[in-house]
Amino acid sequence: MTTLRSNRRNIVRLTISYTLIIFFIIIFFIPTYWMISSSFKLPKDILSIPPKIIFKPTLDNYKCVLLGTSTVGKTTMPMVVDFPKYLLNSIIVSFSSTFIALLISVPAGYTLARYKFKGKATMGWYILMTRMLPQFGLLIPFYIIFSKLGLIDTYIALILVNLTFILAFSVWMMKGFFQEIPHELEEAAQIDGCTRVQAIFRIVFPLASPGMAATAIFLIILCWNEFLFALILTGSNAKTATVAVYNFVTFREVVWGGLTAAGTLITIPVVIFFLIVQRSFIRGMTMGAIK
Amino acid sequence: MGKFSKFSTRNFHYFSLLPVVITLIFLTLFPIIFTLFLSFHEWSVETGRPIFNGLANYINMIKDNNFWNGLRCTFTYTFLAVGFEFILGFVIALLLNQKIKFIGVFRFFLILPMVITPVVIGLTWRIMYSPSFGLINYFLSLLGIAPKAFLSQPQTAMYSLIFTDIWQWTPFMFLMIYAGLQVLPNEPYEAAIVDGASSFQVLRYITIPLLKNIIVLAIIFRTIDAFFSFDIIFILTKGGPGTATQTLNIYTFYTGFNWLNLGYAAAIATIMLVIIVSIVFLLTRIAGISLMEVD
Repeated sequence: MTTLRSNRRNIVRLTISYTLIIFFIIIFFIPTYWMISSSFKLPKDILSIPPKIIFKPTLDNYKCVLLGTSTVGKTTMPMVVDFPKYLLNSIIVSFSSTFIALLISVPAGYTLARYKFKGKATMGWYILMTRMLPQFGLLIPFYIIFSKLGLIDTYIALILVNLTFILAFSVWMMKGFFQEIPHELEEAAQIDGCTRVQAIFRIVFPLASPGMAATAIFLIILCWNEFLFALILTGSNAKTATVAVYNFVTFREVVWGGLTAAGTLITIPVVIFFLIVQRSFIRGMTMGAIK
Repeated sequence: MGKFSKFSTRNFHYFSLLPVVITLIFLTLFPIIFTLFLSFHEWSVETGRPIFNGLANYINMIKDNNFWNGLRCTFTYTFLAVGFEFILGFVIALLLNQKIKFIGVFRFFLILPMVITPVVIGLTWRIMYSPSFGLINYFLSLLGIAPKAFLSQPQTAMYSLIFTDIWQWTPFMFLMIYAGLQVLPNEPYEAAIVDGASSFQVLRYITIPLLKNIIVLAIIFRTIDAFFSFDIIFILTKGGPGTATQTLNIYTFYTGFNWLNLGYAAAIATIMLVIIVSIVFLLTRIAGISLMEVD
């Protein structure tokens, strides 16, 4: 039963909300927009002030990045060969790392959320502490170990490094999201005749899917944007796109056209992943059904 | 049930944690011990190999102005960045938690800053802050304000870095809190409406307590990342002008890789670990939750 007054209040609230949302989105989007639009501009248009909103678009930047051609307009660009290969490397490394991490951290997170046992605090805190290790404390030891094992410039090295960062995050995030789900639900299901495992799959997992989706997205992003270790630990075989982009920064100048084109291309796989995964952000779908 | 089934069910918790714990110990134990070990040695260009020097590195650190400057920069950066990211992220998450159209589109645009590769973010923002080519100064000029060299003046450099960090990582806070909001049960809210609670009361007494775990975790992880922030700071200011934005991590980088004073760098790294562990511990105490409890 809604009164006229509460309807009006609703409209006001919604208008303010929409306005604020649009405001934030514009602010957050401006730099990204600059990157994307610059990737279609000729060199002379990119840095001009006032910013050129209307310009003659060109695909030369993308041709340079994808095909390795070296002239855009009338400028010669540094050759970046094999960019698609580096993009593929990024995809392989990031998705493998995320997959492995999720596989072993979801059960771990669930256990930390639900059980009490000896050594829980120690294990939990050690896991968390691995996230707090300074990069430079890991860099040299990793380089030494991987050199000795002949793993420099391989996918495995990068995946292992990624796991070092993302496991702690993944475990603790899943723990947090599992803790949000009241354990009465599983118990109710078990009383109704499910085994514990069935209860977990039928009830807990669907409810945890927004959390799992968010965690998966972050893991991919963390792996995808990893720069320092990829820079040091890889050569031309396993180099990731994140590092390859740095080729557009030479001694004399930054090649903005190529950089922004490469930057835009690098964004695409992660964005696609996000779009696929964001279907999981559905509001408490099964909550009502259970009651 | 066979013997193994019984054994594994009863010890399920250990088995499920085993892969993670073993992987992490395997990967991190050597580096931790190595760095700690190195911090008690001097290993520089002069010495050529590590030479034991006891607590000398740590004592020098206390006397090192750059260390204290680094500490101050790091704390300013971390505290301000995470603080604003949390508030903004929370507000945006609440805004998008309503029944509004185009929510998918909004979510999409909001996560973009996190997704762009650091090198591009760094260089893009370097240009944006530029006095001659930058968009920010362009907008300011439209308002009649004189252009500022954001990144080359000590006073504004740090705040510019923080602003970029906020731009990049507010989506993280937003997404975490938003995901948390999706799973909240309906009953407390229905009861609140029946009791006639105001929106503010609902927020304070229902939403925030229910989200406490997620909020604390999001803040902890963002704090850790901001504490160790490197890529963006390095590309934007390299720690400058002078040492105005030389956070501890940047200082460690210079110490270890530029001046090749590896023993000292290891000592700073060790202290950084101690500091961040203490901060995280404090955060959990302040939040009044023991992360090890089960509800």
